Amino acid sequence: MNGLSWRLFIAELRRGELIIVCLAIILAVSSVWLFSSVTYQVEAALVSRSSDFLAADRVVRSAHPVDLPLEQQASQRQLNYAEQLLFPTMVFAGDEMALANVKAVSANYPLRGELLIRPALLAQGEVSEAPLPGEAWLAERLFYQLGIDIGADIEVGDKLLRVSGVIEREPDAPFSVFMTSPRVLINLQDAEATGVIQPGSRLSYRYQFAGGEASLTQLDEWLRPRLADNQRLLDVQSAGNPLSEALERAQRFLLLAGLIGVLLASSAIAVASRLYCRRHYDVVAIFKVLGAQRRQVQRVYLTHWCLIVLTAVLLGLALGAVLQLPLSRVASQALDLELPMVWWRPLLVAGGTGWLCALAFTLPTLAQLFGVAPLRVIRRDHDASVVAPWQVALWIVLAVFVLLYWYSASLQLSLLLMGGGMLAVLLIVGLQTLVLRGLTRWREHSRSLGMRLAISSLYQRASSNQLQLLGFSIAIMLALLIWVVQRDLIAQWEQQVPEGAPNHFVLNIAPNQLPEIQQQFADAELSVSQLYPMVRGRLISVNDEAVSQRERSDEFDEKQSERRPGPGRELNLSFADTLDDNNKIVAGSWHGSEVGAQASVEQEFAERLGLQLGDRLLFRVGGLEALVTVTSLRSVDWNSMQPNFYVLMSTDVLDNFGHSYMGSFHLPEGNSRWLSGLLREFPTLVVIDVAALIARLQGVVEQVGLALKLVFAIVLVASSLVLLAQTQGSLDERKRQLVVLRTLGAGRATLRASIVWEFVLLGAVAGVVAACCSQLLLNALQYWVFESPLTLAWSLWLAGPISGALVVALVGALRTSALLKLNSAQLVRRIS
Amino acid sequence: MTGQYQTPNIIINAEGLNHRVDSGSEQLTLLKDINLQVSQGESVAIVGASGSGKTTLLSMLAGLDSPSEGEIAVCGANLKQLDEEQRATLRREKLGFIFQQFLLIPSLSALDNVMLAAQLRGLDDAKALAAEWLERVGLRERASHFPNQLSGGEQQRVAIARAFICQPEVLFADEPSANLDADNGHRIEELLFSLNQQLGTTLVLVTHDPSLAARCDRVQQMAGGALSEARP
Ligand SMILES: Nc1ncnc2c1ncn2[C@@H]1O[C@H](COP(=O)(O)OP(=O)(O)OP(=O)(O)O)[C@@H](O)[C@H]1O
Ligand SMILES: [Mg+2]
Repeated sequence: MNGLSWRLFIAELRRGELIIVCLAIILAVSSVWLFSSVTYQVEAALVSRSSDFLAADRVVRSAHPVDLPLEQQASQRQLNYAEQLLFPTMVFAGDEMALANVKAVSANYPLRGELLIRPALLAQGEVSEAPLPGEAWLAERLFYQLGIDIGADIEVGDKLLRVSGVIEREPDAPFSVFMTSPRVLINLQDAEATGVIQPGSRLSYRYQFAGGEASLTQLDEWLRPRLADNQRLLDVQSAGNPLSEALERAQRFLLLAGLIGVLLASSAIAVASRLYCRRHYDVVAIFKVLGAQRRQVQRVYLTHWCLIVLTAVLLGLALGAVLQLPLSRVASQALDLELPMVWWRPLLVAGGTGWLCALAFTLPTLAQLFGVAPLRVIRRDHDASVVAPWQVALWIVLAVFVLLYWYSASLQLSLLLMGGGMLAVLLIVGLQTLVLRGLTRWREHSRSLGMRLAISSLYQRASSNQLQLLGFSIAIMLALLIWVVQRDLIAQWEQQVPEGAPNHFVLNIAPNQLPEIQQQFADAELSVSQLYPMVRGRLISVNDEAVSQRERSDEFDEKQSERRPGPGRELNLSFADTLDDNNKIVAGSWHGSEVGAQASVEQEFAERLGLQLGDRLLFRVGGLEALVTVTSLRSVDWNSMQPNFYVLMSTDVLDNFGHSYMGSFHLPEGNSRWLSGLLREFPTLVVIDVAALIARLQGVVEQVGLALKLVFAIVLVASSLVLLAQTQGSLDERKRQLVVLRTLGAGRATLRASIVWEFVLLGAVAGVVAACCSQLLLNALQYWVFESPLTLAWSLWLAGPISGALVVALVGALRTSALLKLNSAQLVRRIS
Repeated sequence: MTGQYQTPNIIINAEGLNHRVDSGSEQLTLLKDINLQVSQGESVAIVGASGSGKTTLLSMLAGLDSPSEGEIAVCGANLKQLDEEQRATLRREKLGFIFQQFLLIPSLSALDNVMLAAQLRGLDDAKALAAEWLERVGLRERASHFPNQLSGGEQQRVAIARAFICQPEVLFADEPSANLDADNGHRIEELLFSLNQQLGTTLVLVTHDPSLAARCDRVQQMAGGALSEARP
């Protein structure tokens, strides 16, 4: 029986349905592999270095010096101890300057992990400890920004340092991909001399410990009760989390986006396998007439099924692994992280998805096949269905839900997506029906016989076309969105910033520098915005009720989790008696020059934290506290390029705190010399170029665009597979129709026109629907995200139908062109 | 297995067969009070007009369908008491079938189609046997061809080879020579009756061919679902 089963299999392979099933599984598996593996790789890279992240086993972080005998505690417990101080500042080399993130480290840095330093730009990295006093090690990026090489001198604040190394790897490097300036590593002894460390500066102190687990636990016990709310004790777990959470979110997003492709591929599987099974009803009936047991029939078909799925899954995994290489290179560069190859988890997710799709979308039809009665050989209508349609539907909904839940790991999200997805599908299908209806009305006016035939044929197959229409609509919509967002939306947003609006932010102006700096701006005839005093503080309690200091909602801390929600980080607080145009009071009244510890809170921030007028907020700034009462709520125009704050307090609160000032200004092009002169004179100033921020935003959009492009490609291929499967199914019917038309004397041109027009129209309908949906989505983005005026994108309405018609006609023609080449005699033979 | 009440040489015993189907609002009677006994080694021809119910009767006897009323025993087994699987086993081991519409598997070659029956039966030398039977029906050169590459008559002969290969105890043939020219028709006739004579295969034939019917031991006339003895 085996040889026969095998030959049956080989013969079936040539027919096409199994190939479509195979391709669809390959597509599903490889795309899931692609989307999951890179994130798993990053995760593995993180886990393998988990204790390196902190460059220690425990770290105390604070924005202010911690007033505890930490070093003494460490040595008592035989723990290694190190200190770090981090601050942003401009660094200079000759005329060039760049914003850098300076990390000053004590001699025994790092306590854990490896610091790799290259003695020259092109040399090999060597394991090193902290730089010597008077020396600085720079991230490679800075060498190019400053145009220097090893041995050059740079100024960090007031301090001149010699560049003696290139940072290749820093164990406790930050992981925020888009918002970090390059690192400068110096010795802690030089920190003071830079003159940057002043009250109000953005500083981060880190106290690090490493050693045996028992001593560390003792240290934890000693430290916890003594730490203030604005001082955080981190261990390996709590430090590793922020990135892995972001990663997890990214992975979920990618997988769920990829799910559209997976589901379309599954539809192709379902359509093709139904065709396959239909064709095999007779074969199974013959088997049974000849006395085959149900078990034997099952064995034959399940063997075929397993062979197909196994081959397809393996091919899909291989393809995924190959395609992954360039993708992980991109990720590796973006994250500046060496990525190890990861096999098991993507293998499980991708392979599992493949098997699950194959199971869910073919098994009902296979069950139907196994149940075929032998009597069918005599009576064709004897097709008692073994599996009811509702069972099939339930089965599929269940499978989709399992995938959703598996990818999202959240029941709520799965339910939401399931509901949303169904609604979206209904909407698209509704639109399709409308457009198709319009088309049939148009048929009456068409003169071409081919066109009329095409429209009837399209209408006749309307219900089976629904699926591929859906797929192509989604694919085209994705393409249009990527295109229009990247091309238009960002540009529009940039244009919206008024001419002459501030394009630089200046931070960290010390109070005593204020008059002089304002004078400098005046001399240069540059207008600077209102300069706001600023301190960094932590919200401790609201109406004496402690707020949670958890930085993320998933972080577990018994003490914290019952508290009311907090902002989760230090806030920039400011003080003012006047309001500029982009702040509008929406509730209460602006305190103005009144005193009495009042505060005005931004309304969305207030909403998030459940703050109301009259609430009493307690902030901790350094070692001091400030108690203020909320007397107004404000709305803020965040696009204004002016300094904006969540909390603005009355000026009387200010006096207690060391503060610095910030503001924004417009620097016309070609004035960078003036700016570098200013910064040289006031090395503590930090200047942020908005153009650079926009460039970073564009970077983010591009990366998201890349992911969406991948999804688009997958959806496109999947829809083509559905189209191929569906066309395969209608092939016999088409042949019959061709024969009839031929014998009636229709010319080749008419026949070709009827077939080509059908696909062109199909694609155009999908394109119109896609244009409709992307126009809606575009307007939604404009309204809610970019807050720019709504526009009608004409290009969408052109590009949608045209691209749709082209692509679908191409795929369709590919499958049916052979039909047209056959002469009538061959056709007759084929259909018998 | 039941059937103690039968005399041992009765191989097919159908008693009081009635078959009705619902077709829309009305009920159609396809078989009416049919009683048929066939002894082992006997050859019986069933003749009758198109649509009179011949194929329906044959499918009942072979256990492909169940009558609304009545009992059928084949090879000592009461079909009513067998489930689908047991009937399949019975067909595999003891019955052969030649259909009006050939019923070959389109994706298997002629040789494979013939082999299929032997392999289901578990015969070792299935391939050699299949080749031999193809030769006997005059299709040696066509062994590797697929059904859609064969003419109607050729397909019919493949189907016949497939039915013969297991040397069944009872062979049901639904118009086996309908599509054949005189020469080939004659050849099939010879094959059928040599099987009948050499191995004692019981033959139940449906045919419109008077010469074929004449060679059978008995001829039964089917008319409007009722069966009666016909005297040639
Ligand atoms: N399930 C059914 N529903 C309705 N009518 C049926 C059904 N099964 C059989 N018939 C009808 O019963 C009649 C007998 O059919 P059958 O195939 O047995 O005829 P036949 O004698 O073999 O004819 P032919 O010589 O043309 O092959 C036909 O009219 C057929 O349409
Ligand atoms: Mg018949």
